[in-house]
Amino acid sequence: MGIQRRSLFKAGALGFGGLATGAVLSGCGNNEGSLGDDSQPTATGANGAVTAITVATATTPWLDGYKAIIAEYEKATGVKVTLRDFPFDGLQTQQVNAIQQQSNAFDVFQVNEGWVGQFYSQGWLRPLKEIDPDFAWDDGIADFDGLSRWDEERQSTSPDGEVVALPLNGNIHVLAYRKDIYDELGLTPPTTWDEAITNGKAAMEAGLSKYGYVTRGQGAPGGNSVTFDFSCVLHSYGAEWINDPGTDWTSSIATPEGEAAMAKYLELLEIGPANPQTIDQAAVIAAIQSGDALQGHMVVAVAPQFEDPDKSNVVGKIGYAEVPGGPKGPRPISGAWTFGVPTGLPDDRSKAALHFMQWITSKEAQTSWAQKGGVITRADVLDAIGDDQPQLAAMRDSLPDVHQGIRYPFGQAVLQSTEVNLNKIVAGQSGITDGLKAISDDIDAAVSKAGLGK
Amino acid sequence: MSAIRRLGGFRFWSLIPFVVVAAVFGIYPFLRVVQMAFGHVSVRGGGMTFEWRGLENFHRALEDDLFHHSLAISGIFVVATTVISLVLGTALAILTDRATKMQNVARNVLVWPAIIAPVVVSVVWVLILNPQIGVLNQALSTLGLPEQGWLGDGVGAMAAIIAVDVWHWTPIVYLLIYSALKGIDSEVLEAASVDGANRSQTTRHVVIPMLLPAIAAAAVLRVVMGVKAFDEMYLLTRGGPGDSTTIISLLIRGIVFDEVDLGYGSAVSLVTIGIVLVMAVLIFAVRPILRRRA
Repeated sequence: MGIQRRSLFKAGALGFGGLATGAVLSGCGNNEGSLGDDSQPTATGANGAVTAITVATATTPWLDGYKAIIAEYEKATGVKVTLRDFPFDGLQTQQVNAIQQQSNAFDVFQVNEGWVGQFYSQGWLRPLKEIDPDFAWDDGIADFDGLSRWDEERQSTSPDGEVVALPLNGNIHVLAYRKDIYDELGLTPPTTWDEAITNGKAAMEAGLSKYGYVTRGQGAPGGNSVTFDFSCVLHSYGAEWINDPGTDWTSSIATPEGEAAMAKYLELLEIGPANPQTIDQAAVIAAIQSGDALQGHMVVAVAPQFEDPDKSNVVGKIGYAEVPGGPKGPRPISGAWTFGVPTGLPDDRSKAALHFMQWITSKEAQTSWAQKGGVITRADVLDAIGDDQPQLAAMRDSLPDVHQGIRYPFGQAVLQSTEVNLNKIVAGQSGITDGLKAISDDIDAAVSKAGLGK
Repeated sequence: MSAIRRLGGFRFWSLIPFVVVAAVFGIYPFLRVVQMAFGHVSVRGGGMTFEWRGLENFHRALEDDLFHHSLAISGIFVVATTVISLVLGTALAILTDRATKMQNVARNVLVWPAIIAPVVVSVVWVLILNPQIGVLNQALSTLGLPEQGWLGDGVGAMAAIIAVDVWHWTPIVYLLIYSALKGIDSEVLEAASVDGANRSQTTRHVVIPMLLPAIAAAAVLRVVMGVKAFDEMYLLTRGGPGDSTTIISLLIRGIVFDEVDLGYGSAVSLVTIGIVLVMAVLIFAVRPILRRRA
């Protein structure tokens, strides 16, 4: 009997141990970073007006500028803004949790280009016209290839879609280059990838640069790293992750154009740091800041970091231009952020959130933000600033060629594949043809699973 | 006799907090995972919707090459980290026990890595292994040797995360084995000595056999820790290069948090839990045999 009881306890202990293990793993299920109790309810004044809002944001290089412009909003309106910043992928999780638990933890969501398809298609953002029937798109705001509008029927962003967000940060690719070295060698900023490679090799041969070109090769599952930087080469060769979202859901990356783009990208990486498969955005920035790299394409938001004397050896030496192009011309990728109002928020809070968004994207606020180095989203302000800020001038010149990033409803499934398989190609673990074929197959599977492409 | 008294009085009531905590933080989430594994969960508009799909997610797991790859990678990681940390932990425990000088210092210093937060450990190792700014490559460069991409190829990256995990968690094994070592009756060792056994023979034929149950317990702990491992890989390699170090926890994170595919993520978690349970049962089944041998 004693033995049986002991066995029973053992079995129970083992079973509970299993359950505990399960609990640890299941902790991933839906509770990570749950906002629950620490969400900050929005305050309401005596007359019923919302006097405080909570805004979600990411820990980005432009966070300080955002804080400064929000301080101006608080001063102008008297509304207190609690800015809750999270690491890049943590922000997505926090916002998904808020929707999942209907906690109304945030009055304003911030959505990265790569999450747009997911957030818009799932109805996690409330259409702005539903909040304010008089809402109208301000024509001064840049469109970023339909970034803020969702076409439910096509299941894609579209210039004709319903407005569900406003562009918050106009992060697009620009080319950053050492203008002092370019001047010394008598070079002009490259307009093609071949010119960029030729210039890079010239600077290396002259002993003026350790690296001729620097861009990302590291894959970041859950992020948009090598995929983002490769995309502007891919599209400049005419290949597309998805040919025409909404009408043609097939992929054209496993094609001669896609393979030529990949080969060119590898050529660019060859004149960069060793082991490019480990190069992330921080390493790209460091290579420019240290003075080791001649040039590279990157998001415009990193520019202030090159002008910070505490971090950079190249203050005042960096020039900016539109990214080089391939046979189809330059295709800078939009890596912009939008902000929107979460579904389920009470009407008064929704209206307060929309007011905040409209104020931030107003001409007055955007002008002030641009003067603080912000990567603004109004084309009219960019035009007015002219060439005072070279990175914004390059951004302005690039806007007509901007190509959308991965914005599909199944975008995360695509990124899970592209980040891994592109990284494998860069690392030499798979060939170009096989790697791109694997991505193409995964995209087909994701399209099929989403019930599209029929 | 009242029912409560029959149940053991205070012994019964003292279990209540544990049962409540286990129910809220263990059993309930686990049952939710089980439920989600059998359906498609979508987070639409204002909340979650569940749609029963039977075994569909499990069938998908069976056909998912990346899941199989992650299981294989996790298997390599778990076996390597468990075996290496058991060997090192046992050796360190025996050596510390025999030390005649600075025994207290050794005992303290050896457990330091285990009390450092995984994030800090990752940052430290990034600064050591980073191809551009890492101390190792700086040292190689100073010596005129070619720089290495420690995290740049699949084998190197896997070796690196194994090394980091072993460095971080061997102290836990050390503590368990050392405690067991201190529990060995000194008369047994004296008897071995009287019988003419030298130190090496005593260690091999007396000490290690008597430590086997503790080593088995440490093995279970390390297997579970190996399956749960996340922080170091997420920060050091992010599962790369390619998917060379995409252990199962990284895969589940991606499915659940990036793709927000809660149903499939739950199914993959359940399959993983099942595998861990089988391994734990096997080790526990072997334990009585080890104990009898000891």
